[in-house]
Amino acid sequence: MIGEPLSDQSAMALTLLKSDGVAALSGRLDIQTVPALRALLPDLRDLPLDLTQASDLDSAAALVLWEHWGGSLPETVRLTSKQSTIFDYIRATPAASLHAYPTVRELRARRAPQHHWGTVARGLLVTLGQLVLDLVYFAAHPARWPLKETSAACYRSGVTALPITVVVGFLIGIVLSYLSSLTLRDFGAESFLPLVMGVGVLRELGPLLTAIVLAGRSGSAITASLGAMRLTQELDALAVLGISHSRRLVVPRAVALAVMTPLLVVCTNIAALAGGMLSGWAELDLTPAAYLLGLKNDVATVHLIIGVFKSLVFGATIAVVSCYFGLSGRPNTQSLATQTTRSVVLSISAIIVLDAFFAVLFKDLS
Amino acid sequence: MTADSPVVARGIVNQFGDHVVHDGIDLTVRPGEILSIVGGSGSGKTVLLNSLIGLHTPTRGDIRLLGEPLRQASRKTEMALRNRIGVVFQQGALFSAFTVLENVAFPLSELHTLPLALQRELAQLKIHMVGLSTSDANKLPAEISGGMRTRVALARALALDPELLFLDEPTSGLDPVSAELFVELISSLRTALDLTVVMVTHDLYTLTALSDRIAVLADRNVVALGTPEEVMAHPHPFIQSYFRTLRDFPSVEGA
Repeated sequence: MIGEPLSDQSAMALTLLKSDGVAALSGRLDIQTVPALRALLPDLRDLPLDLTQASDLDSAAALVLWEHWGGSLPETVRLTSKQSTIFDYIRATPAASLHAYPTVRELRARRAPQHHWGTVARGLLVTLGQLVLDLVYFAAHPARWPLKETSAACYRSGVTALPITVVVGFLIGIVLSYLSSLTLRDFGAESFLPLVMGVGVLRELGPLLTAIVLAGRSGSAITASLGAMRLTQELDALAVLGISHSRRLVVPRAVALAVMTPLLVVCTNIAALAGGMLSGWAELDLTPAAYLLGLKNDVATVHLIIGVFKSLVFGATIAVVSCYFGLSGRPNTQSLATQTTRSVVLSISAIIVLDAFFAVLFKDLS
Repeated sequence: MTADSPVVARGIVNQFGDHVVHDGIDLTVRPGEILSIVGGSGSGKTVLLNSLIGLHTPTRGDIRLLGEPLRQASRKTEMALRNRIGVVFQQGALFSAFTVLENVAFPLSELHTLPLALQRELAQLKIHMVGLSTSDANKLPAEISGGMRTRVALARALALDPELLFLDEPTSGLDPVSAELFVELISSLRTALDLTVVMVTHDLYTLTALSDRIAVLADRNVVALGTPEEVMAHPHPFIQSYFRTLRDFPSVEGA
């Protein structure tokens, strides 16, 4: 069959000839013609079969015939020697093995989610605890600090996130300022715009927006890269070298996100307030000078401090959650995908829950 | 028709930047033979194999697989061709989220012509054919040994009963016993299934026990092509040093 042009294959279709009570199959008998063969099976019934004129017999076609004969080779069948070796292979396979297939229960046991929420909570707590212990260790041994990794993580998770967080902040600033302007004008309270923007952005929107963008962008990247290291056994390689995953992989990323998130938040805040300024100028004729003066006089510094503190916690949370899911995956592609999804979902949920918690905690600070 | 060679490569040049890996390689694989490609590290064995199976398009040169020119092949022709060749990658390249059975049944299910029960039976037949038991069928690739993974990869490559089989270092990382079993497996399957095999290997035992012919890659070209005896007698310095261990430990050759 080698070298035969593929376009001629359809011309070699399967044909059944019956004469003198013997059925002869000719043409190709292989996986491509299995549908045709199955259509011919009712015609074959128990007639003695001659396969010697068939140009090919592969295991798919052989198996179809084998099943048609009820799991045995009738003595009346005529085969070439090559064809009979294929039936030898089928005969060598126990019928029970041939028909074995996992039950739904077995498949489900295999696919069962490996994490229950208790396991996740425990794992997160262990990751966090180990992180604290390692930070204490590095405080005592500053020379061992993985400086390059931390710097690289700062760049990857923080610096490269700057454009998107600034753009998001700027646009949200415009929207927030515009919508506030409409209401403020109705009450003749245009001069309150800097206060509304200042408190809203510095204390709430800046940290929250930045953290959510970072969770989607940098957190997912951390989970995916650590998960890929599990796939390629790099994590095992680190372990046998006696290098702690937590110290080498988690600490740099956690420190980087804890440092970079507040810095990013400051940039996002500036962009959002600038957006608010433009919108206020266009909508309320509030000059930039008046807007900035209003920010300076009306907005207490404590809002900025609370916002920056929250963002530090958000950054560390994203790092712990995404590192935990990255390291706890199993070495297969499916697990990598689910772990990354879980990481992003849990990071964002945790940020929002923490934000609500902080709102209550800091309610008297204003 | 049978005179046509399953693999014909003419004037293969592979160049990466200034680095010329292959400089005009001609290689013809005869029907039904086992051809081994050997060469030192960095001699471009894997690049040549990837060129032959169409994963990598050579800088220059033409390749015909089973009579079809790879370069001009339409998408339809290429797909049909893919069903007639099987490839076993070095680490098996099994789908890690699939069980063994699903891995082997996957090419069958992608045909969309076979009923589910037949797909499963065929997959079980191939799993049994490569010497694995039914109890292994429901394991995930991460749960089986390296030798078993190679066997599963072979079962998957054989799922569509290919005419042409490519093996990339199939016995690397296997213990001698597993390697020997693999060699026996390939030699019994090739006669039963009428296979032509092209294999890249480092393992001298696999090389001498399986190969009908050996092609030696060195100096950016095929420096020797012939039966194992002919190649071993070749004066090229790389070949002499490559096979020296065989001469120093003749018992290996007798195995």
